[in-house]
Amino acid sequence: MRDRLHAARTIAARDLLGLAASPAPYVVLALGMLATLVILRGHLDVVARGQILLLADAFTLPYFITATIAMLFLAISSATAVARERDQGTLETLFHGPVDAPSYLAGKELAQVGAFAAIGLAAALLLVAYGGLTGFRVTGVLALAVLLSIPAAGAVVALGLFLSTATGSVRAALALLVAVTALLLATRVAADLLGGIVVANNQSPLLFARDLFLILDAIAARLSPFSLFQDGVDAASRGEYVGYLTAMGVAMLHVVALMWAAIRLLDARGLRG
Amino acid sequence: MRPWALVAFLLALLPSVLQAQEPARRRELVYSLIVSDGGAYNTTFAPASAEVIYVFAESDVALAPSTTEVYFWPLTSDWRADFGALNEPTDGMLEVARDGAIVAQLPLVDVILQIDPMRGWEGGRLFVGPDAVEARRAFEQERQGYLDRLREYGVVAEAHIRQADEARRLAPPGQAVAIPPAPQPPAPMSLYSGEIARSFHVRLSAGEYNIRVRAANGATIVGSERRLVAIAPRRYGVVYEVVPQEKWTMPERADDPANVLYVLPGGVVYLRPFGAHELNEREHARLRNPQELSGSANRWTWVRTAPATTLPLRVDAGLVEQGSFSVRQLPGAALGYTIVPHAGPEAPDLVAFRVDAPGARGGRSIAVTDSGVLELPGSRRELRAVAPIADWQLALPVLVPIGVGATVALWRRERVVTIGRLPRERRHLVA
Amino acid sequence: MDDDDLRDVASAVIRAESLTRRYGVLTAVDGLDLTIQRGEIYGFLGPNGAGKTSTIRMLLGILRPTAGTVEVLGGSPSADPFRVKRRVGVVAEQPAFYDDLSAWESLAFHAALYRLTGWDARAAALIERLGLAGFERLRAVDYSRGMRQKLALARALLHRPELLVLDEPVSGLDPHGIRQVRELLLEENAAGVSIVLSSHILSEVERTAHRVGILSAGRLAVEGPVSSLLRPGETLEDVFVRAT
Repeated sequence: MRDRLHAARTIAARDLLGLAASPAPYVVLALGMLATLVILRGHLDVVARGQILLLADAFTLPYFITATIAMLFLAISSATAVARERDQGTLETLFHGPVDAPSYLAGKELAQVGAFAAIGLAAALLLVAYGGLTGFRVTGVLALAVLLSIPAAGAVVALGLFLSTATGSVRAALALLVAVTALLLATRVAADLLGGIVVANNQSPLLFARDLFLILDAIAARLSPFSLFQDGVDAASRGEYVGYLTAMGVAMLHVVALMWAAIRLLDARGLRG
Repeated sequence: MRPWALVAFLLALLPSVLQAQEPARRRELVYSLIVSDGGAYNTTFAPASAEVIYVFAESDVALAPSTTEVYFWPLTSDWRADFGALNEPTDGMLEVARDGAIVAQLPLVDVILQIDPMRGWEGGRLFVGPDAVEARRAFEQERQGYLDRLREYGVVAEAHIRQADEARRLAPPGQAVAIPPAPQPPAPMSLYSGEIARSFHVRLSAGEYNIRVRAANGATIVGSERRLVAIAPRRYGVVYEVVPQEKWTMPERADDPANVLYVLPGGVVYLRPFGAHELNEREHARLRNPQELSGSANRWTWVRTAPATTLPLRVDAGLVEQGSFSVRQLPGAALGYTIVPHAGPEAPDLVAFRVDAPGARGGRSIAVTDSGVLELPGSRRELRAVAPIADWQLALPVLVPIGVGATVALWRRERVVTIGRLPRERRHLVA
Repeated sequence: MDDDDLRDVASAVIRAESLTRRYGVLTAVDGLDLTIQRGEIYGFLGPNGAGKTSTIRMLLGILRPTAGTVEVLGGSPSADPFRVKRRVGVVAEQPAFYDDLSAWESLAFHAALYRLTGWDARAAALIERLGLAGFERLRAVDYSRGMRQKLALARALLHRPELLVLDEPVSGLDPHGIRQVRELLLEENAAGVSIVLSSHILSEVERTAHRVGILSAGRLAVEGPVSSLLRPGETLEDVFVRAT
């Protein structure tokens, strides 16, 4: 176990430094802050025009957007990780040494989650800076959102690694990831949008569409890390810490289950795919 | 086509056109409902298609089954009852069961719904049994008293008009006539009352039940079986109606306890607090109308119960009492209005708590208190002043990660060399 | 078990028994029995498609045999990778490196993986010996083919392995480079390192190996000391062509 942990840590450190040296995390953070700028500018304009703005939390949505962008980036990165190393030849080179499937995949997971944690923390600090600049209040919910986003990101990465071990090429892994992510995100967005529409006609097809998407969303909520993240933050906003901790626990369960499946797949399929 | 053929064709269409305008009717047992959402009572009905009736837990509810004619109204896509055409009350006992066990067997009783803002019954009050009879009697007595006063006023007002006309007739031309003040009409009645109805009175704790009406011989009356869901709030709290100084015609609602009220520095808001509880949006919609399909199961809504304006409002460490205010149009070329403390005989435009925002960026804590000491749960809000900020300042946090990334890229460029950056004399060694 | 067998067991760095690998209907390795002694340089030869690469991958524990067993340095490379592979150095036919790391950083990563301390001196010595000095900060993927081979050899030797498995280690090298590598391998062997060498450059194998095994259609067609396999006037190429 010590050897395995050491191998995982070494692989994680290498990948983490590689991510830190790449432009991706900085672009992700800048995009998130750009979205925050747009949102806050809108809020400030409302106050200036309408004299009053009622807002539960000015920074949870911007953090959610930043974290989602980061998770999507990590999903792509992890989904292509194994396939890319396989294509490069470095996968086999690694396994010439004291590395096995669990330590390799654990190292990959640790690196991506570590990168996300750094992005999340940096985003939180920048949002606190926005709070100081604008006067919008930073609440404790932001800290809870940051904490919950880490296991949620872990679940996204684990899903990506699972898809990467399941497919034989970078292209196939990406296609599968895009399909799964788009489906989960689309279900949540559709359910949210349709749920907010006021329908006066009881026979409107919109009602049936809404009910359908609510059911699909309820199913997806158990499977999608994005939904777990959102539901957990909603629960924290309401002070329902049982719901928050449940979301965190389910996300960790996803990580364990998907990593176990990825390890079994890598062992079964071998390094050549 | 020949004209006579066209006329014949149109006449042939007439029966189907006439038939299309008349919706099909059917007889069925419906429940007339007097239900509260914890804030206000509402009268509605549940046709057979509404298999589930929602009520508010631990509140008085009246259920009156009757047979009537219902028809589907396509414009609103719901069923309507024509009680005028047919209204056969159903007699029997209401059986309420939960998890297969009977929890109550209820007879029909008298019920009446009355509304009186002056008595604090803005949302209505349901009287049951002998109280219903007494309430109706009191209403009729009060109404008669009002009618008597109105009649007296009529006499006095007529006499005053005659007196004024006589005084003007007798006064020399050009001379002002002193006319005594006109008599005041009696204060209008604030009490509204429905008619006494025979209904089943239920008051249930939160949960799911099955109800049906049993006839005297014990048989279940056809069409009387329904599911009944008693809903309870997810949270209790205080919601605020927020009236900005500059836009008093467009108040906002600060329902969510997590809401922060953002204004410009030096801004003023007028707050009207209400007790409230949070219900599921779909359940609440169906409580008010069992046929209602709008309302989302994954959204929640705050329902006001009663005003909380008699309790003091704590702002930071101090207490603010409720005040009366009037809206005054600004004179001259300046457009707009201002809100000033009320003075004068007419009714105030606004009765609320005035709260001033900080003069610079900062916040003030607001809460409804019980006699200035204990804060009511869910009543705390924050009023924060946010100042305008230039776009370039807002852009700074966007530039930080770009700057850090550029620095890292430059540092990395120094550490790891590519072929292009090798000294020219060494490049051929790598080829 | 006779004395020869006992000696075999005690001194074998690699023992494969009835090693088999099938890919669908194709049998790449067919019941291979292979024993490589400690301290020897074993030339592992065969034409394209003979099963060499599959055999090597099974010996390294990165390909699961369809049948048979493999023992490397007394342990199973697949079941006990940490204990076995720590003592093995490998140069693959096409050495791979991370495209964002310099040559020195690639060695540093390798050193971290193998928990090496004080590896800088040895790495610098190997770099110098293999003629890569001055290019340490260059990205490893920017190296020429020959330089990558040498860097891979430096990486394989960095942790002082007991067993070296080399697949085409001199491919892409000029004669200077080939001599550098040969001399280095002979030095390591003299110090006790066992070497499995697979190469199409038979002249190098003939000069370097103690024993050769020639694989054909998944089986060992010929095996034995180089000197005993060569008939008078023959080269290893003649033996190879005759055997396959």
